[in-house]
Order: sequence, then C-alpha cells, then structure tokens
Amino acid sequence: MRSASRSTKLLALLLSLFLVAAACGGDDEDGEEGQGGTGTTEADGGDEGEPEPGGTLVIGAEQEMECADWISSCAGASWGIWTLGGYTMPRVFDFDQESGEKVPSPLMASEPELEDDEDGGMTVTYEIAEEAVWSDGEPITSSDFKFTAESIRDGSDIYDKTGYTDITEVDDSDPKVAVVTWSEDFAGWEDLFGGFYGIYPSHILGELDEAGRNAAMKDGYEWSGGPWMLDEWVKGQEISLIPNDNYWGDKPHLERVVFRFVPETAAEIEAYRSGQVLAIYPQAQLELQELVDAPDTEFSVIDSLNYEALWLNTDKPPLDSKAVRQALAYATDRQAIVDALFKPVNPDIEPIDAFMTPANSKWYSEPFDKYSLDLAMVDELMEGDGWTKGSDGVWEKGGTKANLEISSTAGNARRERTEEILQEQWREAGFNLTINNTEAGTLFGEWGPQGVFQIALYAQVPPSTDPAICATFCSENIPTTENPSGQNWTRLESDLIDEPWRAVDSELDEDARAELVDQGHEALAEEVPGIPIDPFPDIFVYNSAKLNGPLQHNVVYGPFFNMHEWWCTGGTC
Amino acid sequence: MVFRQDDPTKEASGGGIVASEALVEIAEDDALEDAALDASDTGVAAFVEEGKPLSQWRLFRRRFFRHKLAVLSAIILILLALMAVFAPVVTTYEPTQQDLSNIRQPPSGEHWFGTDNLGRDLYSRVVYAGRISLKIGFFVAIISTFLGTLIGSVAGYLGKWVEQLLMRMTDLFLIIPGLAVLIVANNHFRDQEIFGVRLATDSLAIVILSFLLWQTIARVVRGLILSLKEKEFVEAARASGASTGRIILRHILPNCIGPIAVNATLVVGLAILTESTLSFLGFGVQPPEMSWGYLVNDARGTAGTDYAYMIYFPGLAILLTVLCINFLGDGLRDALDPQSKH
Amino acid sequence: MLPYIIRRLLISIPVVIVASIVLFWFVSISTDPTARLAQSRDPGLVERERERLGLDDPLTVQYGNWATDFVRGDWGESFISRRGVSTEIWNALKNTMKLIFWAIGICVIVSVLIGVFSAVRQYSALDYTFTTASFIGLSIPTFFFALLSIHFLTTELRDLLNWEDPLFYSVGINSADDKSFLDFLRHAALPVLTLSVQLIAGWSRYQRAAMLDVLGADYIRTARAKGVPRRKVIFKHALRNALIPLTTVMAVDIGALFGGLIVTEFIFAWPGMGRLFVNAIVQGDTAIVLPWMVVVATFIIGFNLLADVMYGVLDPRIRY
Repeated sequence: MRSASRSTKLLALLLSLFLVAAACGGDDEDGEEGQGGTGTTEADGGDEGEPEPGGTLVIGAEQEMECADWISSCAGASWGIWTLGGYTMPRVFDFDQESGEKVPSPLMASEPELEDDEDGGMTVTYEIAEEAVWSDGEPITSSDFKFTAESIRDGSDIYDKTGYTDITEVDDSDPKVAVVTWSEDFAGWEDLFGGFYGIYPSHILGELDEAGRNAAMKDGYEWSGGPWMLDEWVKGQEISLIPNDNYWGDKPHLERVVFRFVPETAAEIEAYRSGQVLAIYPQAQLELQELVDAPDTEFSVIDSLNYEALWLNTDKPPLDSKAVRQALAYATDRQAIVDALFKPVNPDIEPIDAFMTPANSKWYSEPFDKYSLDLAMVDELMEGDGWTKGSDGVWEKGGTKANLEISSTAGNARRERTEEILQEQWREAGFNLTINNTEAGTLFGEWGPQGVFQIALYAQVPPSTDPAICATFCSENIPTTENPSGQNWTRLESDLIDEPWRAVDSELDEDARAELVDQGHEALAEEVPGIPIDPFPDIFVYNSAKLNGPLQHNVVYGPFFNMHEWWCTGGTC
Repeated sequence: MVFRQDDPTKEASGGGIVASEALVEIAEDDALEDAALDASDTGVAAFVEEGKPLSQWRLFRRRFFRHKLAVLSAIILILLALMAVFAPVVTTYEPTQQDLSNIRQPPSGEHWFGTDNLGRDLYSRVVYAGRISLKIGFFVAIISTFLGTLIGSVAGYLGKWVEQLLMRMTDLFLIIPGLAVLIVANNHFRDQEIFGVRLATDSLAIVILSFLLWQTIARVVRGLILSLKEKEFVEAARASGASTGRIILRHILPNCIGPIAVNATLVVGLAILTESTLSFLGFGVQPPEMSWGYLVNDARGTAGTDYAYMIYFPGLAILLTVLCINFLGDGLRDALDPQSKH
Repeated sequence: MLPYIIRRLLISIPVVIVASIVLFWFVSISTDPTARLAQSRDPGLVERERERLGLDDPLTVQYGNWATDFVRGDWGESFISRRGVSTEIWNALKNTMKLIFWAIGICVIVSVLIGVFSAVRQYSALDYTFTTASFIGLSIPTFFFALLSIHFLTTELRDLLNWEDPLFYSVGINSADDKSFLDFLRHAALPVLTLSVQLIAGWSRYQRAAMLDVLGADYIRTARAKGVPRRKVIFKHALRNALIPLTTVMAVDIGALFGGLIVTEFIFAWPGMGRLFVNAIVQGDTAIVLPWMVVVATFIIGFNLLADVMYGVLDPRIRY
C-alpha cells in the first residue's frame, strides 16, 4: 500500500536522523577521558597544575538584572553585581571571605586613611594605584571619585544615598589621591566608593546629566575598570563577558564567560545536570538535593550574610499586641522548618537567633534562642492577654478570632513550603493562617511600604558585614506619606529598639559599638517585630572536573568574583 | 470563520461531504466538533424520526452498553466519584498532615503513593485533590451547560439581531486567548471581593472556567435550535398558541438533550484539563486546598530524578479521569446516533 | 475569489477593534501598572506615572490614547526590562514561530497519514491503536506529557546510552557556546513533541472521520465502479475533498496555539510568547499584558481569516 510505504519512509527518515544525532553526540565523549583530576574536595580549591588559557565558561544565573546603572534606583538586583557589576567596576575595598574583613582592592596603592575631624566630621584619604587604568587606557583618577560622590549625593533617582549625603568635599587636585570629607561621622565608610556601586568614570560620563548617564549605562556599557568587560547582553537569554586587555591586575585565563539566565529552579537544575551550564549559584531548594552527590560535582554550602525572617506588621491587630507576637514566636518550630527545607542540601544549618547570621561572626549574638516550640508558653501569653480558645481551637478575644495572613514572593517553592509548614504549626497553637502571595515587585514595591501585608516572609540582603540596622527597625524609618521610602515595614515604635540602634550608626569605637549591637538585638528579641528563621545558605555548585582554580564563596560579591583566576581543564570548558 | 453571515441550516440539512460552516465554526475542540457534526447532521434527525420516546431510551441504552469502553469508563468514573465523596474512608492520613522527618519517601506499604516534599501522604492528597478537581469539572459543566443552553436557545430561536449579538459575543471567546485571560482573571480576583464575598480558590476557578466554556455549548444549542425550529411539530405548537419559552422548553430542547449531554460530558473533561493547567502554572487553587494540577506543580522539580513518582500519580489521575470522560462521551454519542462513522 | 478575500479581510478589521476594546477593558480592571513602579524610592514617581499614563482619565479616553499609540507602533516600555514592549513581543514571537513551524510541519504530515490510513483500514488493529492513542493524546495534560518527556528523554536517555551530553535538551532554545542548527533541533525536539501530541491526536481523528465520510459518498463509489484504481480514488478524489474541513480546523487550531503554548514554553524555558506572558504576570509587568493579548488575538483572527480563504479556495462549490 502506498500509505504503508510512506509510513515506512517516514520511519526510515526518523531512524536515520536518530543515527546522525547519535554519531554527533558520540564525538564529545572522546577527549575528556583521563584528563583533569577529580578536582578539589573543598570549596576553597587549590590549583592543580598550571592554568590553561582558553575556553568559554557557561554559568547559570537565577535572575536577570533590569538595569546596569548601579547607583540608580532601577539597579537593586544583586544578580546585576554577580553578572556584570562586580567584574567591571573598580572599588576601594574587596571582601575577603577567609577573614571576614574588608581588604583594599588592587585599585588602591595603600590602605585608605581615616581621620576623625574635631568638629564632628571625618576625612578619608584614598591613594590610587599608579597603574590603575580604565579599559580605554585612561587612568583612574580622583576626579572619578568626585564624580561618583556628587552623582550619588546630588542625584534624584538614587537607590540609596546613605553615607554620601554628608560628603562636603572631594579634593581631586592630585589625580592619584582623593581626599573625601564628611560633615558627620559615618561608621560604614568602608562600603562607599565600592560596595554595589563602584566608581564611575568621569572622563566618559562626566559631561552627561543624570538621565543621560542612566541611558548610557542601563543596558550595558563598553568600558570597564575590572578584569572583565561586557561583550554582549542578549536580554532574556544571556550576558557574556570577555577579558579587559587593559586591566592592570591579573588577567583572566578564560576566553569568555557567559551567564545564562535560568530563572526557574527546575530549569536551572536541569541545565546543570545536562551540562549546559558548568556552575550555578542557587537559592536553597529541596530540588537541589539530587545535585549533592552528582558526579564530577562540587556542592559547596556555607552561611551567608543573608537571612530569611517573618516580618510582622505591628499596625495590624492582633499583631499590635506584644504578647501575641511573642506567642507566635513560641508557636513556631523554627528548627523543624530548617531541618525539613534546608538540611537536605546543607546538613550543618541551624536556625538563626538574631536578625543577622553567624557568618557575620564579629557581631553575631543569639537573643532569640529562648524562642523554641512551647505550646504552654503560647497558652500562657495568649490567656494573659485576654484570649480564650474557641470551640474550633482558634484563639478568640472580644468576638474576633486570631486570623492571620502571610505573604511572600510567588513562585518560590521553598517559601511556599515554609508557609505551608507554618500553617500547620500555628493551627496546632490556635492560630488560623491563610496564605496570600504576590509577585516580588508588588510585595516589595507596594505591600511592604504601604503596610498592606500582615505577616511577610522574605529575606534581607545586607550589603556588607556592617551591623547597622536602624534603617530597618528605628521608628523614624517607618514609611509615611512624607517619607514613603522608609524601610521599617514592621512599623513598630519602640524606644527600647530605637536607642541602641541609633547609637550604632554613629559610634566609631568598635568595642562600644559591639555592646550597642548586642543591646539592640536583645531589644528586638523582647519586642518581636519579626521572627528570624533561617540563614540563607550560600550554595555554590560547579563541575569540579572541568573547572579549576581558587573556586570559593564570597558572600558579598558572589562566588564568581575571582573567575579571572579560573581555567578549564585542557583549555576547553 | 468568525463572521459567517450565511444560514448554516442550508448545509445542515444537505449533509454531504462538506462540513457545514456552522459546525466547523462551533468548536475548537475536535471531539466537540465531531459531536456537533453528528448531532446536527443526522443525530437530531434520527431522534425526530424515531418518534416515540420510550423506544428511544431503550434503543439508546442498548447501543450504549454495546460500547464496552464507554461502560468501563463509566464504571471507573463512578468509582472515582465515590472515592472522592468518601475520601476520609479510603484514606488513612490527613492530606495536610505534614511529617517533616519523612519527606520524599518512595511508595511503600505505609504510604501507597509515597510522601511529598513536606512528608504528606501522597495517596491521600491525590484522593482529596480529586475531590476538588472533580467538583470543579462537574460544576463548571453544569453552569456552562445551563448558561450555554439558555443563550444558545434564545439566540437560535429569536434570531435576527438578538442572535447576531449573542453569537458575536460567543465568537469573541474564540478570538481571545483563553488561558491567558483565565490567568489574569484568577490572579486579580483572588484578592478581590466579589459582591462582598471573597471566594475560595476552587469556587473562583469554577466561576471563571464556566465563564470561558459556556460558549461551545451555546453554539451547539443554537445550531440545533436553528435546524429544529422550522420543523412541523414546532409549527404545530406555535399554531396552538404556545409561548416562546414553552416551545423552547417543552418541545425543542427535549430533542436536544442527547447532543447537549454529550457536550456537557466533554466539557467536564475540558474543565478538568484547564483547571489542572491553571493550577500547574500556579494560578489555580492555593494551599491548603489542592488539586491534581497543583500536586504536579509541587513536584515539578522531580522530573529526571528518583522522586518522579510525585509527578506520576497526580498526572495519571488526571489522564485516567479525562480519558474515561472522553470515552464516555464517545459512547454516549455513538448511542445517540447509530449512523455514526465509528 | 478576490472580492471574497477582500470582504473577509474587511470584516476582520472591526473584529480586531472590538477584540482590542474588550481586552483593554478587561486588562484595565484586572491589572495595576503602578504597583510595580512603587519599588522606586522616589516618592513622587507613582503620582507622576499615574499622570503620565492617564490612569485617572475616563476609560474611553484611555482607550483612545492607547489605540492611537498602538497603531503607530508605540507600545510602551516593559516595566521590568525597560525595553520597548514591541521589541520584547517581536523577539518572543520569532521564537514561538520556530516552534509552531516545526510542530505544524510534522503534525500535518503525520495526522494526514494516520487519518488516511485509519480510514482506509477501518476497524483494523492499527486503527484501534491509533484511535486509542488519539484519545490518550487528547486526554493527557500538556504539562504531564512535557514532564514525562523530560524525565525519560534527557538525562535518563543520556545515561542509558552512556553519552557525555544528552541527546535532547529541555532548557531554552540553544546552548550558550553552540548556536548551530543541530543544537537548535536538540533543544526544540521535546517542546515540539509535546505540542505535536495534542495536535496529532485531534487532527488525525478529524482527518479519519472526514475521510470516512468522503469514502462513503456516491461519487467515490461511482469512481470505483468505473474501475478507477483504488490508490487514485483515495488520493486524487477522496483526500482532496477530505482535506477541506481539516485545513480549516488546522488553521483555527494554529491560531489558538499561541495562547496554548504557555504551558509548553513555561516548562522548557523556551523564550517565546507563552513564557513572556507568564513572566509578565508573575513579575507584575502589566505593560506587556495588553499588547500581548491584542497581538495573539490578531493572530487568531488572522488564522481564522486564512481558514476562510483556504476553505473558499479548496472547495470549488463555494463561491461568494
């Protein structure tokens, strides 16, 4: 039959296609056998042999940044730093993971000198390395410092001006020495002219106004002050970097680095498993478990500075009652949450007991460790506050039930599971919890600032190890119509909290500061404007057979911060 | 296709190889299309010619039970419905009961389908999710059948501008990207209060899905009404002074029950598929409620791993249910129309 | 013929307009463009945006403004990426067209083959197999099939064959370091397969039914009685006529595919229209939602128009 033979022909065609594909697939096998060692077993990998130049490294990126004008309000995403900013913007201090300290970067000829002025201000002198140049060959000068400071201080659409607003003068008479003067003491000065902003080139952008600068940078820029420069940014797909030939420090071995955007967890893991990307830097998810023992894979986890917490809107009853807030803290089995959702990928993790993580070892304390699952305490506190348990097991007071609502970023499987666990835990304790998630933009852009949420679950990403959190908890930072960008979304007005945290901002003496910080965290544990749950594990997964070099974590700049020192086995990735 | 001005009855009575415009116009889903084809062409005629209702029913039953797959499907569906209704009896664990020390356990004697990401018994969750999925499918079919029949018969019988207006409205649903609209609607109305009531997520799904699916039935009914309204028995009823509503309800619609029932059955399947897709994308039911689609969503990351059983069980539940529904609908249609092409 | 086409074309235009009005109204009541913008720390920004977007004007005025902008090609900017919405949609559309092209190509051939074969060999074992397979294809949720294909045909297959790389990829449209055509095929295989399952299931059954219909007709029996060879009867006479309703159904289904691709692209991270839409919703990028819907609606109307035309072309009895 004609039709039968047609079908046969089709089958034959399919079969031959399959064979062709099989032949092509097979070729890749040869050449990899017997080469490259097993790699190091620690994240802080040592070198195995000599670096071999060449190769295109593909890395999976969980998010794509929106805009690359780092100082502008459009550039809030950490992944911007981790895919471009950290490798192209010069900065004063680098973060050294080992010591937990900031060390001067190759941009500096020496350690910057801080001078406390008698009239209440301070001055810092930055000595710029002679050989420091931009990718176009022009030297990096003190005028760049001046331009950066003024752009931030005087700009109208800046992400965060803290620390720059009190800069009164930048002396750029010596092109290689910048002298910056503040009118007030600012304890976090080491994060300035660096951090997530970097230093801007005045000779390229100096003539532009704010809008012009933003337009020139937001979609990527062709210059650089770091070891890499932007090759191409294909929106929605990938961003690729190539070596900056004019970089005065160690030049990259790799020929090219491509960050592939894979925003969905399942897709990201799939991409790694199938070999389409060689490294990923994912948020903790149960699905990662299968990668822990994957072949040729280094699954490295450490604590980061980031932490996740429940944030209670104290404007919304019954959360305006301290007893209820404390009761919730006793109703939450934080250990169980961490055990179930994080231990499969990070066996050493423990809940955090303060609004910071143990990774910030210098300042960490544990005032929240008194709050573990204790239903008797819940009963005591609630009954003491005038609540009684109704027939359905839910607390009641004056005709109102203890109905609560929790919100988080939609689409994050682990967060949704956290919420479901809380639902169960709190039901047992007598609280009725409903889940109402929304997209991150709405949560952080509208619900948070406007106080639409009742309980929110999200993570704080501190820009540095600096312990100051007055912005998050002091009462003057509650968002109002006059001050809508206030960051105190829990809206609690408490002198107990305000006092120590205000002092932390201006106290320059480290020991005195440490005491104030401890005091501040005690106050938070007493007032419970929120319940800290887990440290965000910093998870770095990479193919240890193909990747070599000092692969390690860096909780501020991401694990790819030193990829100019990496190389691929055999010069191909 | 959308704005056919021609009288579809011309083709309907002619039969022949060219599928009448109205019928191709009617539905995107081919199964529904087939049903409409058959019904409109010969099914209704067969009914009308048969005459006496008593022998019709017996004939129908006889033909239906010859269709073994359909019978088997009906049995399975009844079993599933019973399991859903008596869920607490057939399950040992609560579907929301977490056991955080026993997460991701493969199927065993204790947990027939294993446990999920939070240690919940998957078998229990599949059964309870079946409650919601079946409930949604059922109610969507009822509401959209009611709405569709109402609008279709009004349009078909009254004709003129009423018909045009109503039919253009239903046409709009062909053009608008349905799933996209569903997603946006669900996303928005989830937080809103409709007439002062905030709907539970499954009720919201029912409302929104019915809103989208009534139009297929409306088309079918309209086509049927059009082909029937010029028949003698209708003339007779009109001549004897019966009101429009009475004519439609008492005389025309009873002859349409067959095709309507077939379509309604298929709508159940469509509703279940659509709801599961919505929930899979995260835009359907929300915890602590669950539906099959939601269960697959929760398990999405297990594809390619040893935990993929979390995907199999809810997925197969959907497949089995919808498959049985489709076989059942096919059987019904066959039973209604002995001259069908199968 | 031409007046027929022009008439249909002219009728389509008001359809597009009406669709755009309905969609505009729908989107305006169910989305809030300023929710996303509030993320900026500039306090006056939301107010300024509301003014700029004219959100407090009456709906008719808003629609008028939007429509004139839209027709002129100014579709606004995405809130997330700050790029033109038209650029985003155009890029996504190109990628979706690739999927659709391959899916249609394969499905048309396979459906016709299966349909013809089943009709000619009615009641054979193979016919029943195909019918059952079609039922399964119509009943299986797209996402289930997609996940199954990922489960069995990517890393499992690679391990089974003991290869370095998987044969089929399930993430994205190409590899970062290999933009060859073969690489594209390896990425497209599974999404196309997923799409094809449903299409083939529906079309093959339709083709079979239409074919049976035709084969039973008088003029076919006449041709056979006259001694025309069977093969010629099937392909020259029957198939041509049976294709008519099928082509129209195909055209309609293809138009509807655009929305239906949502799940497939979502699972395979394919950077097309479906994924663009889901991301827009999840990220609150409302600027994309309305233009997206209007574009898809226009395509569906366009394919319906195509169906009308093809119908008129193929069936010599229809003359307007």
